[in-house]
Amino acid sequence: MKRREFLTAAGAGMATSLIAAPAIAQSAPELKWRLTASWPKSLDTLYGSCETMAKYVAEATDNKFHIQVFAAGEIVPGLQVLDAVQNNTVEMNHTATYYFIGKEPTWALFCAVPFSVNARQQNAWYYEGEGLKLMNDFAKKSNVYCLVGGNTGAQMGGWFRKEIKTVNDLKGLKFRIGGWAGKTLQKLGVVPQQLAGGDIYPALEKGTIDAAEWVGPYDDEKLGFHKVAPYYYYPGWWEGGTANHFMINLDKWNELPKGYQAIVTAAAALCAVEQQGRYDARNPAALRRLLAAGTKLQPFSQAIMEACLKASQEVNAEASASSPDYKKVWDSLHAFRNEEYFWWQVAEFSYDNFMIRTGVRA
Amino acid sequence: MQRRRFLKLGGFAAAATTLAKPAIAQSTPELKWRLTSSFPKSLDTIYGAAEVCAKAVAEATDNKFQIQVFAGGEIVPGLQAADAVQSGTVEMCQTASYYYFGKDPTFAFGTAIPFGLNSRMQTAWMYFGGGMELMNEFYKKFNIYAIPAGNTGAQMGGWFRKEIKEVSDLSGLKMRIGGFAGRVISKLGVVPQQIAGGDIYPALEKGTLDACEWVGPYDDEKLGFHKVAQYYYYPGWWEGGPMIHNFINMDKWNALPPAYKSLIRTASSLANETMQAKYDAGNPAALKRLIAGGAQLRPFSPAIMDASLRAALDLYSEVSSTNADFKKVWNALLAFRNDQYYWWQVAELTYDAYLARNRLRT
Repeated sequence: MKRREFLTAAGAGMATSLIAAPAIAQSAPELKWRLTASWPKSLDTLYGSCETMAKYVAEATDNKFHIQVFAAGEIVPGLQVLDAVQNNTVEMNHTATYYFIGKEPTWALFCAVPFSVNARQQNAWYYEGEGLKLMNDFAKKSNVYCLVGGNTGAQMGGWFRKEIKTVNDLKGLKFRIGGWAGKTLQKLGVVPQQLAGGDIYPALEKGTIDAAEWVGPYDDEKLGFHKVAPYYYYPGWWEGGTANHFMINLDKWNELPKGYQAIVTAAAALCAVEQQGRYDARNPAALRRLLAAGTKLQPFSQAIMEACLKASQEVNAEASASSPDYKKVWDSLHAFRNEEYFWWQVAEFSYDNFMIRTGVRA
Repeated sequence: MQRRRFLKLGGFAAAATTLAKPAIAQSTPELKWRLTSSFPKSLDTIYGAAEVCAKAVAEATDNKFQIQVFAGGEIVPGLQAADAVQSGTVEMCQTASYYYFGKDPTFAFGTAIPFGLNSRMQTAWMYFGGGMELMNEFYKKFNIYAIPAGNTGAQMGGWFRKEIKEVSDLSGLKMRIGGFAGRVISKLGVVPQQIAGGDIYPALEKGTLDACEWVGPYDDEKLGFHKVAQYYYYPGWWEGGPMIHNFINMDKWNALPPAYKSLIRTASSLANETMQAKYDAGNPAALKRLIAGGAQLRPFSPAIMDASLRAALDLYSEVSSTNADFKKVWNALLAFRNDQYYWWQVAELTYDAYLARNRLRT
């Protein structure tokens, strides 16, 4: 009976929408957008956020607003998705903004920089601090509008062929590591390498690189690094909570009816909830499998953490001196982070810490 | 013709996803719903999230679907919100499921149980660990469909007139503490008191009450407890990441057009993200002001934490032996939690630990 009612209603709905089409055109027009992702489909947690966006926007508009998702490389390469949106080749992308530090280092701050906020703190900065406003003021220069579209949580420090015991062991190390973190590690003698995901494994196997960082257990496992570089270091101090975003061509965003803007904004929040949830739910089992397969889990030594922190302070000072935008955003984020950790050490951290110590007993 | 074009592109994932339901073109009816919150307007973090949700739905439908938000007490008292939804007095409520543990203790899992999940884990469990399926199967008995719609993060352990140094100091202590946590802590000799928010301060002042717990710095500050009970304990081991839900009358939910269901899901996610963000952003400054105002911050001693954990585990096995629903959900949640903390101790906790220790140096 429900089903009959539904079919009848659906039929009536279709007829109505056809007949009434001109009258509702302004508030709910037929729209087709393209979204280009910075990710391959194989990174299903990140790529999945793009599909979630398309699904919920289509559902909420009875398929009138249709977003078609393309994987990295299908329209433009993954690292050119900002240009594609800026030029209106596509209306929208899903990306990690630190890919664009070559254009302007400030982009790094909106995604992840070493020793910055964790995932929840980053959300707090965006939604309830100055984050979204600072970001969209900055993004306007590139003619894009940004919405938070996910977070990976704290990442791992990557895979190393040999143990890294002292700061000295970093000297001359050929490490596949991107952007801002690479710049920081360079100060300690690391030689950062830029390699696409698919090229990392053979390079590690041959020894043309010594180490590689990717994301965390769930994503790393698929690329099989543990078979050729068994030392798995933590934490990934350069990505304590890596945010990713939907970027929308600013003209296209401004042309959207208010209703569609609200739909896209709410859908982006669900993408963010889902992505962090997926990573959190999937990482534990992946880590177990990696350890069972011979991975050797190692923390970075205190001395290495200290040296990296110092190097990162230098990088932040240098970038702040050369870019007023960087300085403005880093000052905001830095102050916010210090406030957050003042509180975090009380209830959150002590709760997690107790649970970890006693977890096996409960 | 639009459709034909799309059929050709059907090979692409997103197009295929949305094309799979072309028949769902539905009219968007005018609907007016009432949402009763369990919370007063003065809890602007929680109550505000209900408004965020209602506003997003209204904007997305050009005001065709209006959800009017009422504070606790305006239609029914805060703790009867679920009953009002069950009976159809209102279509929807915003509430904490553990308020209804008296009907069945299984309700507690939706929001928080002592030594349960932290905020991110609770979301991961709900969306990707089977939590929503398990809980909605249970809520069906009450004609309710639930969607996650917020979290406070780890709470504080409350305000005490005297220091609590040993487990024996808890004996005979009159503490304002709600629901399931009260049952756990009563095993240690505490005499739990149920007192409405506005009555706590005078009771603490007069000494008819020895202690109370509320939420965390941002909310606690408004009630001024630090002036009459200066010892502020942490962590709130009974609420590591309490989740707020939208409860929806099942018949009303089933009757919604798919577009409106989709919108309630995304709007609830927006509430989920922004409520946590608001707490995370507001707590640090509030904690600073409380300490400046004379609050004495104290951790619960390891002995008290251990005794509380044992008491919680005893209670869970007691209830599990007589309540099959409780047992089923507890077993699922326990396995999920232990898996989560196995991973959490690696990247997340070590990152947070390092940043918490070094925040002032960086």
